[in-house]
Amino acid sequence: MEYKDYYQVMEVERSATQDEIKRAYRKLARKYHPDVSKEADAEKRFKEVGEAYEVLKDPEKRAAYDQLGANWKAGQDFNAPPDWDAGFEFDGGGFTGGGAQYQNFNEADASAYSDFFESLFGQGFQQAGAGHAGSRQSGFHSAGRDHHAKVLIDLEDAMNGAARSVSLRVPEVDAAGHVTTKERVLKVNIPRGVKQGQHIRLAGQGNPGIGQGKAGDLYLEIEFNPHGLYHVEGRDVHLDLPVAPWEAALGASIKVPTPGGVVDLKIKEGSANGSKLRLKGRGIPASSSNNSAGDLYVILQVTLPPATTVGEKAAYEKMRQSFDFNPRKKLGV
Amino acid sequence: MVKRTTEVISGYIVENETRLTLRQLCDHCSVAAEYIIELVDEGVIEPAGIEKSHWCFTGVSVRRVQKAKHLQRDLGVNLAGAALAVDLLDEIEQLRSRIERIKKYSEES
Repeated sequence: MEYKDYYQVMEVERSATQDEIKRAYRKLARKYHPDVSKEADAEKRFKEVGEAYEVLKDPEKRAAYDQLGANWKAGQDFNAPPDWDAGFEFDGGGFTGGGAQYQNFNEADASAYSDFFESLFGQGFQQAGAGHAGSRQSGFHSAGRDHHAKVLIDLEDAMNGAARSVSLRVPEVDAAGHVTTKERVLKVNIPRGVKQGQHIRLAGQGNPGIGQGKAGDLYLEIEFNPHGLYHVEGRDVHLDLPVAPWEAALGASIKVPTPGGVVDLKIKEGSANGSKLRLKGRGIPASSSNNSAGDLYVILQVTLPPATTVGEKAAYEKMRQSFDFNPRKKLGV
Repeated sequence: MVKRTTEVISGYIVENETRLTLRQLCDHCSVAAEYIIELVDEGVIEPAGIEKSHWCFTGVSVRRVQKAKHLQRDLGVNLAGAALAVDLLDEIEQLRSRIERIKKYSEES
C-alpha cells in the first residue's frame, strides 16, 4: 500500500504545533468542502485532509505516526512494521471520538479512510470499539447513508430524456472486515426537462443499511456538458447567431438551429448587433405540470464579410460613398 | 474492482417536489424535526403554511438542509454561519453562471 504523508496533505511542517495543525485543517476543510468547492477533486482532497487530521490532531496517534520516521515519501510502497505501535495507546477516541463535529460519523464513514490508515489505526479502533461492535452483532440496525454523485448530461438528454450510465465508486466491507472499493455502474433515466444543478433522487440506491436498517438514497446532481452552440441557463437556452450586415439591415428569413431542430426565423429590418430575439417555449421542455418550458434566446451577431476580391472591395467602396456614417460619433472624434 | 450492471432505474427530480411535509423533509435529509424547525427560524428554508403540522416545503429545501447540515458537521460553523454560507453559495452559483455567459459572448465577438 502507499505511504501517506499527512504533513504534506495538511501543508504543514513536521514540527507544526497542534494549534497550527488545527488552523491548517480548518482552512483546508473550508477550501475543499464538497458543498463549497468547485474543484473537480474536492471530495477526494476533503477526505484526505480529514484522514490526516484524524491522525495529527491526536497527540498519541501523531507520535505513533511520527516514529515511522521522516524518510518516507508520499506514494512509496509501505507495510506497517510489526509491533510498530507497541507502547502507544489509542483510546476509544479513534474514529468516533472526534467530538460534536463528527456526531454523524458511523460505520459507513470508516470505509472512507485509506488502506494506509486502516493498517496503522484500524486495529486500535476495532479493539476500542469492541463494545460497540458487539452490540451491532446482537441486532444493531442503522439506516445506510445517502450517496451523492454528479452526472454529466448533454443538452439533448434534457430535451428528450435519456438513459445514462453512472459509475460510482462504492466502498464495501467484506466478511473479513476488509474494505474494498467496488465500481458500481447504474443505468439511470434522465427525466426530460431537467435543469442544471437539479438533483435526481433514487430511493434505496445509496449505501446499504446495517442489520435491518434500510439503504440510503442516491442523489445525482445534474451537470450539463458545455455545448458547442448553446449556452443553457435554467431552462432557457441561448444561441449566438451570426448574421450578415445586409440581413440585419434589410431584414431576412434565415434558418436557425434550435435544440429541437432547425426553424425559420424572421429578422426584422434594421436589427442591431446584439439584439435578442425570444423564441417562446423552444428551450428545455417542462419537467412537470408545475413548471413551464424554457425559451430560446437568439442573439444576433452581425458579422462582417472579408473583402478580398476586386468585386468585394468595390462593394465596400460603394458603401463608403453611399453612407454618411461615423461609427465613432459618440467618442467625439 | 468488480463491475456490476443493473437495469435502468428511474428517480424523480427533487426540486420538482412541491408538497413535502415536515416528516418527509426529515426523512429525505436524515435529520430530526427540531433541526428543520431551527433552519426555518433561521430563514434557511421557508415553508408554506403557518401551523407546523401543516407546513409544506418545496424540493429546493432538501439540498439547502443537506448543505447546512454538512457545513455544520464538517466545518464546525454554527447554525447562523451555515445559513449565511448556504445563501452565499447560491449567490456564487448565480454569478458563476453569468460569468460563463459573458465569457462565451466576449470570446466570440
